[in-house]
Amino acid sequence: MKTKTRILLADDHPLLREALSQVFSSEKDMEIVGQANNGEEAINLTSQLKPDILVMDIMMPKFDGLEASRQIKKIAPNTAILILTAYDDDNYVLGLLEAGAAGYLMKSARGQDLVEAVRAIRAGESVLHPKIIEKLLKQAMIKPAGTADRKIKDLLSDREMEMLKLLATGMSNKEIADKLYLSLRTVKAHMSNIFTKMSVASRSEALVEALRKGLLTLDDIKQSASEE
Amino acid sequence: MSNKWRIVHITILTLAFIILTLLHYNRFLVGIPLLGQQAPVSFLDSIIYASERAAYILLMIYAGWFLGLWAGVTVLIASAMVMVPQAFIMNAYPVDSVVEILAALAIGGMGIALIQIRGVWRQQRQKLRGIRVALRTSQESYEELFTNASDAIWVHDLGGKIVIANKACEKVSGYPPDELIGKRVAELMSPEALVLAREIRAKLIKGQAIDQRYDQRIIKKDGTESTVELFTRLIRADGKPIGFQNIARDVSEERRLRDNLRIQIHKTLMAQEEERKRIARELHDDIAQSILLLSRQLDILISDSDSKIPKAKIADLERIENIANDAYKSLQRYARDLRPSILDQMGLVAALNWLTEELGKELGIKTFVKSDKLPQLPSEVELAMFRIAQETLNNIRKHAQASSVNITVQLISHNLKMSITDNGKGFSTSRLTGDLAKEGKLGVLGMEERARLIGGSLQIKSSPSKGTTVIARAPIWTRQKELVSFIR
Repeated sequence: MKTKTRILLADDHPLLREALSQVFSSEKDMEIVGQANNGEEAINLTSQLKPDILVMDIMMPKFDGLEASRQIKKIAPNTAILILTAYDDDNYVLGLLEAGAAGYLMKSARGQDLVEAVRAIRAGESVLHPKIIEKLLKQAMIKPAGTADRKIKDLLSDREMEMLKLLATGMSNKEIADKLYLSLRTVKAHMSNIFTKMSVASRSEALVEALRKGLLTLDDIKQSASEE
Repeated sequence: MSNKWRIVHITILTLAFIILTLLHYNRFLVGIPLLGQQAPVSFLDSIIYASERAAYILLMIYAGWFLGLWAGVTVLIASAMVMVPQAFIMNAYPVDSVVEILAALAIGGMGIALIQIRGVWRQQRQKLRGIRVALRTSQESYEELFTNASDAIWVHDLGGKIVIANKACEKVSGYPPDELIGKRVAELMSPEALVLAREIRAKLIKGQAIDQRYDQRIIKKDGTESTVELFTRLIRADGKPIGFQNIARDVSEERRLRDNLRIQIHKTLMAQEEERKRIARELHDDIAQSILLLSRQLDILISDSDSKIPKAKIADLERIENIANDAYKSLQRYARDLRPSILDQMGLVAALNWLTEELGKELGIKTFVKSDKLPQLPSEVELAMFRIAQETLNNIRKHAQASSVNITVQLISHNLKMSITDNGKGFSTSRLTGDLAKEGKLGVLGMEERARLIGGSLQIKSSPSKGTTVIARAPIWTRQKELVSFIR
């Protein structure tokens, strides 16, 4: 029996929260475990309830969604954060990812899109547009590369490093499985291990973290991509 | 000497000479029994001769005294011409006479010479006295200039002790000059002013250039503070520094006016920003949320599988939902134009990236933003830098015809430096501030003011066909606090 995805909602507009809650409640594999009215509540409830996914509005009183994300990633690294935003400019999105978001959706997105985004994050799939990934890499290239964090690098097996590189090319789990002649289930298990070892909850975070810690270089990613 | 007196003297001299000559040749004066007809045999005769010659000497000196060198010489020559024949015609001992005559001429000549020497000496003395008077007058007028100058002028030695001070110092410091002399300049300064003074002093002694006419604050006798515009110069003697000359002008009133104006501008800018922020927030929080809610409710209706709504109506609902979504997006765009939330949420660099990319998309030009790793910046600084960049990019959009724009943000020891460079057509900077203001292009002035309000500065480098670089600088730590207290 598959466990339900536990979701925490954070939005300062009660009616909107209600509408969101309705969307998720009607899905059989999801449940709402709590609702927060502002950033502070979101932090507290996350640390108490340890939800799988936090769906959070970016504009909130007492810590906006960004600040809340930063703090939550420190206390509950396994909670993936899906940010609802009014803007989807690349720079804005990059900022969201830097703060630790797993993904983002426009506030005007359909209920079904929201549900699918939550499922994708849970499955360790990418929820980012390839264009954004490309920008993320470019930005990483501009910034001076830090020396690789040995601790994390030693933690990851060769297989997992290989997957991390493929992940950075934006391939889906299925594509990775095909490329490495593995089953989809095995790939998912590897992903899950990578996330745990890196203390992250999603692909996007793993990518951001890997770039930040210098685990991945641009050459790694180009190589993986060209091998396709 | 007037001409009249000259004539009188010449007349007297001529008459005296004629009479004397007649006496000298008395033997030819028929019928007049006078002395000296015989050869000088007696002592008395000798005296008579001698006194006649002495009389010539007197005439020579008289002429020399009253009528000058040439008159004296003339009388001397005339006397010689009269006396020499007499010696041979009438005298029994001509050789003796000639000796006597020569002696008389010598004595007369010496007299004339002495008179001349005395004249020259007197002239010299007079000239000297004239120089002395002139010197005194000029000294007095310098002293007068110094004492009554409208600018305060004082000199202090290397130890800071005031050596000399003029009247205007009282206006600036409240102390009369005699109280100032002997005082130390440090007594007139607050600790901050002293820091500046030491800086200036050190630079001057090292021979470095300083920005002359700098502002300095002075604590007056009554305890109030005044702002002076100061000029300080190192005084050297034999190449060694010995003190400082200072010229100061009280500019308290001007500075107060300027500061008031700045505070006013600052308040206006702040109010404008606050208002924009408020409107943006209301648009976003209130209206946008309502529209969003509308869209959500429609979405729930549409996606409800148990719904009894007919298919055709569902399509209508979807259209309505799309309208609501479009309205929501426009609202967000307006809100963002008023107050870029990206700045508040993501910080300056992200906001600059956003700005330049928008410009790049619009004009199809290359843009690039490069930044040092920045700490959390004071929001005032972020906003000012952002607005300066926005205005600069607006100018580039309107005027520059550039094909690339680069922004670099650097952190140089607590100073933020933002440079915006384009490769456009540029302009001659001489026609910058003043002219632009006249043409109603106040953008540049607004940028300068924004920079100044955060304690920073704005610099524009450009020349025709060489592109333009706008550099904004702002301190981001200590000064910021000062500024805040200053504005309060």
